[in-house]
Amino acid sequence: MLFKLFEPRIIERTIFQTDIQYFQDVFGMERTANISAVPSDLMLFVIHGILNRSLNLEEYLLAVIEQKIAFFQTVYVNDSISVDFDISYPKNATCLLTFRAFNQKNNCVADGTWKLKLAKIEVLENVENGHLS
Amino acid sequence: MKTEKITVEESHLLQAIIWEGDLRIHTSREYGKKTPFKKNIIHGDTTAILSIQLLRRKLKKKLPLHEFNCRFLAPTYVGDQIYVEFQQLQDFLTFTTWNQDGVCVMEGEYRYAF
Repeated sequence: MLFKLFEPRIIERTIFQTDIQYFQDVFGMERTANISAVPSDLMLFVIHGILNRSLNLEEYLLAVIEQKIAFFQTVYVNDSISVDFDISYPKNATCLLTFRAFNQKNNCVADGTWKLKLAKIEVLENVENGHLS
Repeated sequence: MKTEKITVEESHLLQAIIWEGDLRIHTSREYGKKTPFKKNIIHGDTTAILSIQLLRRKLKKKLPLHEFNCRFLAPTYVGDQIYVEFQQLQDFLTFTTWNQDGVCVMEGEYRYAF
């Protein structure tokens, strides 16, 4: 198996108050003191960051070409997020991840898909029936 | 409708690494030259969030993000000026994000209410 490095939900990320402050600063949002609910926009970064680190994308990623995400529950400061995912290969040199993000209470906070264009296609030779096992 | 423009800054590229992690496609100039893009590209989520912010500023509303779908059609680079064209429907927006050269870099839908 060349592409997948970590099993789903191995990597976990706690959301800090400072995450929100940095996020508000860099994107020119009004800074809100002691906000407890994490903006869903920031969760885009966090969830995709966990997926980035779950795969050895340094070697394989050419570009993200499509993404879909839906949020179900508010994430709060100090929550810890992990991501469950499945990989399939609908077309040559593309990779589709279906994912669900969970908080530390095992509640699903978001789900979606992430379609990547891969720089290398030989990874496909190691895939049986379109799925990694 | 159309939003104002925003210039993509180095800080937009670098701050995203806190959450997205560091990949050389974004941060190695030497590697960037070898890619089809010829230079480092901005994280797709950064283009997405800048677009969302432009929409919120234009509409003067918080517009919480409940669902977001997008397709990345062209890369965005530091120094690009991007703006958004959009159509507001009952509880969602459809939008396209454009750069200074008139290239559509992203299109998508943004649901802000259940």
